[in-house]
Amino acid sequence: MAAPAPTGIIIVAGEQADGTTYQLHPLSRARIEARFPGTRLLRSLFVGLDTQTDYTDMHGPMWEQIVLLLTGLTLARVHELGDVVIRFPASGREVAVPLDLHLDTPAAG
Amino acid sequence: MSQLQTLYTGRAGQAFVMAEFAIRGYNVAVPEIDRGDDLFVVHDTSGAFWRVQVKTANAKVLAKGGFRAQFRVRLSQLQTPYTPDLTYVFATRVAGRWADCVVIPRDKLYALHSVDGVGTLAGGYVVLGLSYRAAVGQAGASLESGTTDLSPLLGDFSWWPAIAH
Repeated sequence: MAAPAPTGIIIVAGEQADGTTYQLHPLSRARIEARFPGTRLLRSLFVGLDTQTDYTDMHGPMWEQIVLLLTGLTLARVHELGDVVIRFPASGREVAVPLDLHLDTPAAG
Repeated sequence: MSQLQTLYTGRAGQAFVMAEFAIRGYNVAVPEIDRGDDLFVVHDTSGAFWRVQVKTANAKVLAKGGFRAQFRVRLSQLQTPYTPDLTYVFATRVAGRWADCVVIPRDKLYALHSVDGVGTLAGGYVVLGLSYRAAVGQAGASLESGTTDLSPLLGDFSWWPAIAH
């Protein structure tokens, strides 16, 4: 039996020595496809960095852009779907992504 | 099956899959240190690189025809994306022959599990029961897990088109 669909958007992430790979959780992917048919979803996104320090300094501020790239949606549409979290299955860590929502953003996407 | 026999079966499945990549013109290597990847597959000219995990099982022949094999994959491995990502190849031995491999990228299997309910969770692993509907070498082979038709995955090496050297 399939698992119940979670609310919001879950992004799963895998950390490796030279960067991090981000991917939509399959249930979130299905949810976006159902809600916004025709949306061009990325299969995955790799963000390469030189050092672990770069990771700490840069990835947090980049998460909002990572969400937009993976989903192909505007911030307003992402917000419609609920909260966004990034999950790191290897460590069990889960981080909420604060969305800097500008409601005047055109709702195209 | 003894642990030793399991080891031999696993290595035989790995060799079978290596042969499939090699005959398609890809270089193939076994990592010196076992950290989860069984094979590295490389397109020598372009440098494209794939990580492959081979799972091997002996199938049980079914009285009603066809056969059934069971595999398990670690849940945390199934959930975690890396670059390059992992591809699973499930190799099944039945009645002294190899059945067509089941080839599936990690994220596609994760979607089958979490969206379509393929496989069951047990002790941190996802257990996959694969039912083949025809004997090896027969036309019209099909593959199911539960009620999900997985036939398109049978022998699907389409990500690795044959290279002429």
